[in-house]
Amino acid sequence: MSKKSRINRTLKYGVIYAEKVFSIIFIISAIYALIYYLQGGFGDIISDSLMIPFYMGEMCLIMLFIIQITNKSRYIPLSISFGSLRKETFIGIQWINLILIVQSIILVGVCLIPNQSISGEMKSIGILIFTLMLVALGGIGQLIAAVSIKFGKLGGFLIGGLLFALITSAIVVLAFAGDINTDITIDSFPSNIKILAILVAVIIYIFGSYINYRVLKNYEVRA
Amino acid sequence: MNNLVCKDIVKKYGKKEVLNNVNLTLEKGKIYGLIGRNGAGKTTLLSIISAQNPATSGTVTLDDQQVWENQKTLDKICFSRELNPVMGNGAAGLKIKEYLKIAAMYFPNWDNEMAINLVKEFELNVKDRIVKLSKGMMSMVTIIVAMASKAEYTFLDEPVSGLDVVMREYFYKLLLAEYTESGRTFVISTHIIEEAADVFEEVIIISDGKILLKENTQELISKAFRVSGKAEDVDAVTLGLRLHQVEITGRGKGVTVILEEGQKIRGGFDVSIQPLNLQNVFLAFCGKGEKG
Amino acid sequence: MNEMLTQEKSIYLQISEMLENDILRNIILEEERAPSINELVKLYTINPATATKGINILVEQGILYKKRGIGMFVVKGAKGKIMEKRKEEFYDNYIKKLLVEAARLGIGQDELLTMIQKNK
Repeated sequence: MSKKSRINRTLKYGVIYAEKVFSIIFIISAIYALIYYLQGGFGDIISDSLMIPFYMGEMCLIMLFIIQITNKSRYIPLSISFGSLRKETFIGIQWINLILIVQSIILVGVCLIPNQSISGEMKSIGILIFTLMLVALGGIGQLIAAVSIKFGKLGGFLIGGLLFALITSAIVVLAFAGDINTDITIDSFPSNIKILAILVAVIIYIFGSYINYRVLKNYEVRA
Repeated sequence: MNNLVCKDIVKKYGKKEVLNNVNLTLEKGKIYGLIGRNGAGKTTLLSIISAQNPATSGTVTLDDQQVWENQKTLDKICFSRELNPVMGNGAAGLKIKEYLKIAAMYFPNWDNEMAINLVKEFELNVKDRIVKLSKGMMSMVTIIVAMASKAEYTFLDEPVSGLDVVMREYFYKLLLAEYTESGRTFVISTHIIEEAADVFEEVIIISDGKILLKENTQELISKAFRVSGKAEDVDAVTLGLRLHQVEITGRGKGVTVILEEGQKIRGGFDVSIQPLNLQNVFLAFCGKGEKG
Repeated sequence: MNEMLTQEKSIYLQISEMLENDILRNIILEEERAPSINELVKLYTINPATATKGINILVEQGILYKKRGIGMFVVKGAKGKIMEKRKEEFYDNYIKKLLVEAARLGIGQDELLTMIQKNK
């Protein structure tokens, strides 16, 4: 079998795996939506409250992070014990992250569209911040997962990581709450800060995935 | 050269040396038995040969190509690990059919018909979660993956653990039928030595991380004898031979000898000479009190 | 070929002996086909290499021969050959040992003859 088809196989499993987890988000969201609807319709929630996009955003962040961790106990060992290369498993992880990030952005973006309470520019800043957080979290998640593969302190790191995700979303809430009533345009964010923020997120991701790669290189499947 | 070659394999965990200078050549198209005590290094060796575990030093090559991180060679290898409740290999939470579906995705020569057929023969319910299976059923899943992978070099770690005698016999027949039809190379590690002795063309004995011997099973057995009788007589006929499993009761003595090239048991004394089976040979090398 | 394998000696030797027994008992006649390797493997759950070895012994001793593409066949006169071989083995395995054991027990040749004649 050619090299290409083997990569596709590792990827295929990775994607299926990621989509399975992502669908949990949908299911939970659907349940919440149902609850709201049954409590008397959506009313102004869709147009006036940022609750839905926030909620989606927070779940996406948590899910993305959790997947980095569960990779360690499911995707990676299965992939390697069935004869996949460590390099390809790593590539598979990156694709999983990419797909999840893009889907998260689309999901939250779609939820933001009908919202009337903030300006379009605020929305794009929000999406940007969200994207950067996803990227950073992907990197941090890989870092933590990699470290816990090497040193096995899964429990401690997992809890620390979850706290981190919660804090992160709390920060987002605060950020938006502070700006919601002000008419801030994109221009008022110096482009320097924007570029800096993008760079920071990307660097965090690259660093995290690099550590992940190094750890994967010597990964052992233990009985 | 269609060979799987291990050269100078050393595996250390910290200061603990688990494999010590292992040199092994596995020829294509044979059924090998890998026998050794618990902790001798069987699983680690199989893990390293299949690149699921990096060696501390040394190389593993298949047809002169590195096995490590090499898709072409890894496509020819399948190491179906023992499934156990700890699930080190990632199967935790999966149902049998999910596990098999994923395996089907990864192994290039996967034979799904065979997998389905074996599930039926083993009377497994594909909807069962692997963690909830009994030890025997987990072994069955391991066997299914190994067989259906149709990999040229297939390794099984303790495939019969948990299986009752009827299923064990079924496994040996299944293994031989598949071997006869496909000529695949198998390496089977096992504790249950005597049953499997008939099935192995060659046997590899590993002890404390070192390979003690690798020989044709039948030839090895034909060189092993139990000599017993009056102590002086036994000593006389076994002069110069290496003795194992020495037992002394009163004036009587019993020893196991494994003849090497050109050695013979002397005649002319009233001693009993019994041929031995593989299990006795193994005990002679690795039994309690023996220096391996 | 209906006997079971025992632990007492190498499998391939047992295989060749069982085939010889079948020939002696006219279960397989001369010029008839002997079991194939695959049949032996299936019957006894043994490795093909072992089965091959057992068959090869008989080929070397001129008891079986190979018809290309068809299988192994019993040589004409094989029965006689096996009888001869067994008689020699009988002497080595039974007579010699009997004499040694008799000597150990102090049984003289006359006593031995009486014992043999007792068993009609």
